[in-house]
Amino acid sequence: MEGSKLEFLRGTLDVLILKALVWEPLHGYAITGLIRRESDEALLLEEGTLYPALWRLESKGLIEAEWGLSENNRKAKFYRLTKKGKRQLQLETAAWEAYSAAVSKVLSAARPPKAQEA
Amino acid sequence: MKQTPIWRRYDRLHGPDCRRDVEHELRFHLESKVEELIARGWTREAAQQEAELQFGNLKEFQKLGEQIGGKMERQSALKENWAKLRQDVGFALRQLARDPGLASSAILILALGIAASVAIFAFVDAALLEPLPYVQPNRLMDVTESLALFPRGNLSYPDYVDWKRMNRVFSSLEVYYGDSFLLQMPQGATPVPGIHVSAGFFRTFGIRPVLGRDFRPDEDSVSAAPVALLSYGGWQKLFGGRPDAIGQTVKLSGMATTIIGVLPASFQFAAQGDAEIYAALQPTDTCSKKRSCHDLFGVGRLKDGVTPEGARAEMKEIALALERQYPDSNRGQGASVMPLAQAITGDVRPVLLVLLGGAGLLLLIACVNVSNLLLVRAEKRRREMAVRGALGATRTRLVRQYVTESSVLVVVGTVLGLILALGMMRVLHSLISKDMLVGMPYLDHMGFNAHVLLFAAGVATLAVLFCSAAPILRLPIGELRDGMSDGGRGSAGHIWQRLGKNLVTTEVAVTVVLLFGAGLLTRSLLNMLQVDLGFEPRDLATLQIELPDAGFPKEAQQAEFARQTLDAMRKLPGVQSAAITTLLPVTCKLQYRLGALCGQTL
Repeated sequence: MEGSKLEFLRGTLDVLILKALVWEPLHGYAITGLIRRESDEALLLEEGTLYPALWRLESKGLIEAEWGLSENNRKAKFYRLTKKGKRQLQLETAAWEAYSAAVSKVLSAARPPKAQEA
Repeated sequence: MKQTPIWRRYDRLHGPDCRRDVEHELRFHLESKVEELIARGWTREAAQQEAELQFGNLKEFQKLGEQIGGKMERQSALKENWAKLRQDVGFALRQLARDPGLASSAILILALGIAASVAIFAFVDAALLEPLPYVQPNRLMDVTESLALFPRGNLSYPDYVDWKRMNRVFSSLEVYYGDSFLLQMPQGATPVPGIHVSAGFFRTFGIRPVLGRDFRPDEDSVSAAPVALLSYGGWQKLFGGRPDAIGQTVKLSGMATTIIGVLPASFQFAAQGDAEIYAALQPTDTCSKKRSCHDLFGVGRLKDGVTPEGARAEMKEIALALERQYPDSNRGQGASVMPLAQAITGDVRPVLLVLLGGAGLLLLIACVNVSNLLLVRAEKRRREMAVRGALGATRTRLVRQYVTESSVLVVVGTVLGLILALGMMRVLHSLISKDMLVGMPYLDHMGFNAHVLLFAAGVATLAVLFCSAAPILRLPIGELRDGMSDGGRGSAGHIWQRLGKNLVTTEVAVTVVLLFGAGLLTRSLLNMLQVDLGFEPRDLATLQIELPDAGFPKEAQQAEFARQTLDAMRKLPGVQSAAITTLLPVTCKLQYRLGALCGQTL
């Protein structure tokens, strides 16, 4: 899918960030890498846009930040999912799955749908 | 994430710095990216360019980050302050609970002081601060003639006509006089309080009838058919609120008068607060023809740009011109122009201000008392404060503690005081006689409005300041060790003694002032009750009789009626003697239409 760069809607990015933090606290750079790797390089984002999203999530209390040391021994800001964030992730995942299932069902329809009423 | 080294934990000891945080975070991202690219074989320069390209608008993100970070910091500061406040209040409550006697007496004293001042202020607000319920009420003026002896006298009708014609300062100038009508209903005649008004009266106030129509401009002329409007209350009472009252012709003091409209329920005219009928003022009687017969009050609306002073000067000049023209009837007659609100509340103003002053002094005494109580306790707590100071509590923190404690007292006292004030307002209102209330319709709306609550808040704030000032002055600042070593009997003891003495002196002084004031008021009242009237008022009863002009047009007929009435009264059991007058002694009603009878009972 090289070249067809998917546009990130803010809501989508938020839920991806929450998902990225499910396993362990990560810093921003690691989150970009994780999203890129996990989507098989399909989801490319302008890396800077990640940060405003992170800060907004932090101010909403969905994630919390702490300064720590990175793998390459630098001072980095690590983000951790809060309880509220976990709940939000579950909600959004369920909503996203329902939505995408509905969309793919329509897109994969083989025959023209039969009209119920003329 | 690796374990944070210990030095990092003190990294932000000097407070948060969101600007630096954002910068560090973004720089970390870019550097990591560059390193990764170099590891993949890029040159440093190319890697740097690529990293920045992929990142996007760095400056823009940095600005956004500072904004969000700043907001978060403010939020967390607020949260922290809130937590501190809760901690303080909790501590204050525990402290007060330890000495319930002191707390309850302080609260009670404050509640009484606040209740008194708030209740009186509610009266002041209703009477003096609330604007009259008319369109642009501050442009309405009370306009009357004045004599040296009688600064706000009455207008005579011919003078009014000249004033209205000659003045250039009022957009409208109208007159009225209070009267009592005899309304002849099928079930008999009822006396109805009312008022005669000239045709433009309601237009001057900016009031429109809710039902029917207003007077036409010429309906107050001699030749017009008599018409009248009803007050809303009068409509309900006399006509049961029936819409067919409009257009009915009723006998009003013997005159066939057509009801043409009903005034809004909100309309009230304090000069004749209980008026139920507003009849068009037609200059048909003998008084209206005489320049020397004064029975009217005037009300005018100032033209735009005219000040009350300007209007007064102009009316005085006109009065002077009339005096020259009619030296017999108009000798020494000037003009009085004052804001209508002042004319309406004129009598009440000084009384209310005196009461408010008294209530203020009472509150001051209450505050001094509470302050004294707290001071005594602060003395006991010197040691505690010294220890807390030594343990690192800052001066601000200790001051805050005292302020919180007095705030808790004052808040509880204020809430209690407001409840008490509500009761006091009812009691005070019921103490005013019915006759007086008729002239003070503005008191009907008295209650807790924004003004009164604001006043209560202001009073509470002052009380907090006052009550916390004394203990704060006693804080063992700079002499913490002294405070700890013994209860503090050294130089500080002197300050305490001086402060305490001063407070007591203030309190005694204020009390004396208040007592003298109250004593003088009582004395004046006693004197008034004991004024020698020149006759013995005991066992005298008075009775008012209304006589419709129409039924008794000739004076001989009226005299005959009076004679018959007196004869009948003298025959009543218990009546020793009876007499009749148009004006009772020691009253100041310059009205010619009333007859009164005096009878002496056994």
